[in-house]
Amino acid sequence: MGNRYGQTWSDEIKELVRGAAGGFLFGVPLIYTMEVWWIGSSVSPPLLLLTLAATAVVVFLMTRTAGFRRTRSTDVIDAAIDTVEAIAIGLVSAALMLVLLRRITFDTALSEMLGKTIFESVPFALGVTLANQFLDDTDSEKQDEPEDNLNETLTDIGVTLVGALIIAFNIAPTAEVPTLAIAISWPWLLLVMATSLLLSYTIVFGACLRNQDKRRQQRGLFQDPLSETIMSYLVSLCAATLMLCFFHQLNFSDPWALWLRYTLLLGLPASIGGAAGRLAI
Amino acid sequence: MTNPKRSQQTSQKRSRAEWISLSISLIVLSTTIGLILFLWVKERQQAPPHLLVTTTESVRQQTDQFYVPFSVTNDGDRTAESVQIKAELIIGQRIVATGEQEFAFVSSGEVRKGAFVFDRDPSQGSVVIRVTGYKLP
Repeated sequence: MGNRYGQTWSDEIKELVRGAAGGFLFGVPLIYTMEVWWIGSSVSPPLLLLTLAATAVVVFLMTRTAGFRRTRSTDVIDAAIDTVEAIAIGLVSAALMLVLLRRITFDTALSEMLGKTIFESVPFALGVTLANQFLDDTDSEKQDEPEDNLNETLTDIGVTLVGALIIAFNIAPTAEVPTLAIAISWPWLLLVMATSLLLSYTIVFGACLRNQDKRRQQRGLFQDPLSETIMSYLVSLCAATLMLCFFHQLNFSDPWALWLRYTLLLGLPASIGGAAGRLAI
Repeated sequence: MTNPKRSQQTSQKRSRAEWISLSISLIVLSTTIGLILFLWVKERQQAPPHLLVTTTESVRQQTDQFYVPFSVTNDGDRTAESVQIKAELIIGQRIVATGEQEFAFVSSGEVRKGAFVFDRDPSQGSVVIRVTGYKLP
């Protein structure tokens, strides 16, 4: 099914993934802000409705100029439909991240669950709406011929490091990483690793985003999508460790398990920063 | 300002895939709004926080210290903020040690756990653990 009307299933999934990728780029740094968890935990239902309504208005206005879809007009009805979808993607993405980081568990009260999810979903929804504006691949056809392999690899490592450092620099000095580390068990940390890799891959290769065709054409050391994703993740982990040491969150006297735990947790936003860095070139 | 790429395809019909993603989005959004309205209605009949401290787990000794586990449950309907817990170790009708803790939030129905650590053996006397206060968010 699919070709009979506007979009095929594959196109639709790509657009939703592009929207979600934009959402994660904007939303994940705010997930590492405990004040938002607290505010979300105690906010009253009318304020939650107001937050949803305000988000809808902003997303609606932004959808008329940006949005995450590339195949329809931006008339009022389409913009309203895209707004509903952007907010839904934001809510689902934020809820998944809160579950992954154990901010929502089976013990969490419904009011707290809703409050955290709605507050955290705001930047996700805005990110979904901005997906085309920042991540569109309009210019990718005009890219120059690929440079030599070593240069491309070094450039990728460099920009990944810069992107990861910028995000890690903002989160490493705060108390969020130690707080999250307390609540997360080792199996959940494996999930955090898998999510970091999946998001990094999706943002750079999986969502038809900027320069993707050029990236897929690249050959040589760490230029295959899978190996580039793994290499970028390792670089992001290095950036995370460096920032944790720089801000004295980790000392040489700390046990190795603590190093690993903190690094993997900060590695999640750092790998998204690294992916954003690679999109920029 | 409109995106030129998008306006090229104004006449396109919405596909089945798009209708399904819209339907799922509407379900997510309406469920969220429904749950908020449910909480709003429920909030009007909400009882204030009712915080209960229990010490069902046994005291454990590690090196020279004694760990007294406890849990705080909010049986009320409203969330309590900055919940202060105080423990007093009483031996021979005299308070020989005290400890204080704070939980940032205890939501309705939530159970928070912790432990007080004393240098002296609580089995020689008694430990009184109680909630000393909270704030309403």
